[in-house]
Amino acid sequence: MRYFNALILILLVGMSLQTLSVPAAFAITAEEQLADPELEARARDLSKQLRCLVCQNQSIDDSDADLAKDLRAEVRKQLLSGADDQTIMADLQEKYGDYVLLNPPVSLATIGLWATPILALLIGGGLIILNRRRVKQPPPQSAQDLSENTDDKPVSVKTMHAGTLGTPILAITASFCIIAAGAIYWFVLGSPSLPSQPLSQRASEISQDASQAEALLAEKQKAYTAAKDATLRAPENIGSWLELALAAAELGRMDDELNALRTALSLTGEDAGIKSMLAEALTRSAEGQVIPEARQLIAEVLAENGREPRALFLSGLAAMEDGAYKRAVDNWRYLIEISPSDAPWLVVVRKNLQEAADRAGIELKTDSDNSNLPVLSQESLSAAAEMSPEERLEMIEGMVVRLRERLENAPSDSAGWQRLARAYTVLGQPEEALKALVSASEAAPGDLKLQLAVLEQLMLAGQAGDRSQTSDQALAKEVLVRALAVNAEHPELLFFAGHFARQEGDKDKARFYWVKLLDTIPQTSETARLLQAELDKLAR
Amino acid sequence: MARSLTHFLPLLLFVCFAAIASVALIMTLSGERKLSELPSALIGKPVPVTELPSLSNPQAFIKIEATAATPYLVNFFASWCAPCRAEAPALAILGKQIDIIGVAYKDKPEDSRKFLADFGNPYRAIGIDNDGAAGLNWGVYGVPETYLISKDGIILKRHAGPIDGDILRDEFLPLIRSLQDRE
Repeated sequence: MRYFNALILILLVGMSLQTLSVPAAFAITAEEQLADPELEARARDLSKQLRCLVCQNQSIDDSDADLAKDLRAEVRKQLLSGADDQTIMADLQEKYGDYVLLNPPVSLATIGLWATPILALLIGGGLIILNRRRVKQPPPQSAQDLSENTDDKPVSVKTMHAGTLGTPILAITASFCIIAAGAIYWFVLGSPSLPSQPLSQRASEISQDASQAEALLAEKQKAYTAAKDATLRAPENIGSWLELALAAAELGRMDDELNALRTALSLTGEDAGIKSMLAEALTRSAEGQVIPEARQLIAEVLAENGREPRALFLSGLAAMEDGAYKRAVDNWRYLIEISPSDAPWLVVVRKNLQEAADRAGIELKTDSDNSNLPVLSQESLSAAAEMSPEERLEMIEGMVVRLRERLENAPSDSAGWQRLARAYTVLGQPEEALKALVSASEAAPGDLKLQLAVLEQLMLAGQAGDRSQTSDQALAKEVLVRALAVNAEHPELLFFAGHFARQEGDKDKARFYWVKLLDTIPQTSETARLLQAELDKLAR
Repeated sequence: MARSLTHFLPLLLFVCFAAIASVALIMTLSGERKLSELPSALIGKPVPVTELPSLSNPQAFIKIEATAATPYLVNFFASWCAPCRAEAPALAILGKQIDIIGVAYKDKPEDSRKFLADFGNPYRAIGIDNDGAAGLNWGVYGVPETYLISKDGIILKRHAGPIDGDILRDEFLPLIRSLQDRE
């Protein structure tokens, strides 16, 4: 009940507010106006009563619409011909219907519209008066002693009683709050006196964006010109040709980029890195098609260095193009395997690998995630997630056993051994992991990086001291020999070789390796100083 | 008893109001009640007699008179109006069933001619309503607008906006067919 009273109050105040509408800007132009001020005043008056049928909630006096202009002219034309106001309104009403009148005539269809406010006032007022009376003459029950009544009826009467007394204050506060909120909202967002800034703001924003883009382009252009100048000044400098190629690529100047790369290539005399860059640029220029020239370059690069990432990637693309999805999968898998884990191209390669695998119908092992067990397929992984830790371990162990069996039958699968090593690490079996790593290094004797990694693992395990050092050392020496066969000049290898020789008491051999090592590192470095000290100790 | 009535009267009133508002909202959302569709004042009334310079021969006039030999359509169009292009196919179909009188509304004659050359001319005759005065008499508030007029000169139907396939099939063609069957 009290809410209803409040509602009526709000409605009343709201209605009165509506009439305080702001005078709108005049849509009417000077040449439209009539010379006779009296006629013009009548025209304006009539225009305010006519609805613009296009905008629908403006009078034709307010509206800028074409039709409103026509109607204004029509009103004035009829005024000039001497028609009276009623005739003009009736004429327009006949053509456009009641809808053209902003004040709808009282008819059967509009009676509800006209009667509602009066009805609302009558009903609301009646209810308020009824309520008041009840407050003044409280029903007899409420006079009874509450303590004698276990029935909760009088209590409810009392509550209502108090509520009605509080009504006016509550209603006034509530309506005031709502009106204040509306007014604030209106002043912030709705007021027609607000400057029409949004469009101009947007215009300035747009021009700002455009000028930024322009500045960026100008910068690129500048870099390109500078690079071009540099190549003109020093046409023998490979670096400036490569810079020019980059700058041209930024600007999308395909031909310039290709030219610069070709020049750089001819200057270096068949450098594999530039060859693969050229192959990539050619592929880009053909919108992703690996054209024959690019294929030739890729083949040359891979023949020279089978681990060149760019060439490997492109070779995968070429395989995809030929429909040799299996080959593409192998290519990209290998690329991922040999790439550092933070290589920027990994994301793209993995995406492509997935697509190739899908086309080839190959289920990818989760090679892509090094921290996970690579022997697990996606399905068994999700199955594993639902298992208890013991069950999971058991499942992994089962898989490790199977992988091991497979590898023992095909020991040349270096990547497989590495996976096995990772699995053993996860299972908490470092000895087995180490053995698998050694097998991996055996399987790929040419992989210097792998040999080095295994060697380091072995040395670390030896230093931990909780295992038989001798067996680790024997293994380490084995690996070292393999690694030295690949690169006899590698500093780290030279150091280890000297280290082992000294352990065995072969001072001459140790000195031989370390002197050689000293030659490969900067003389002023800390390492060189320490090494010299060790050499001095050997000499004593 | 009397108290419970005054108690529930406001609630009852609110429920009534909510019911009416819901019906209106549902009809609007379902597309049954079109907010943009304005009532037409001229339906069932005699056609406003109109005389306009002819597009094909500016010296001559075309006349829309109180009676005609057959039912016909009056179509207000303009070359600058995009929806008019959209309804060109529908008008081409209608033009084979019934006479259409075109009114080039606030359009330059050379533009109108080019428009007809580009999008087809379904009209039997075309009048030029240079200043939109004829449009005002017809209660036009935007192009395209199409009126169906009986041979007694009574406006039977008015459609504001382009005639699309649905409106052609569901509204105009059945009405025209029933008119022609009656003869």
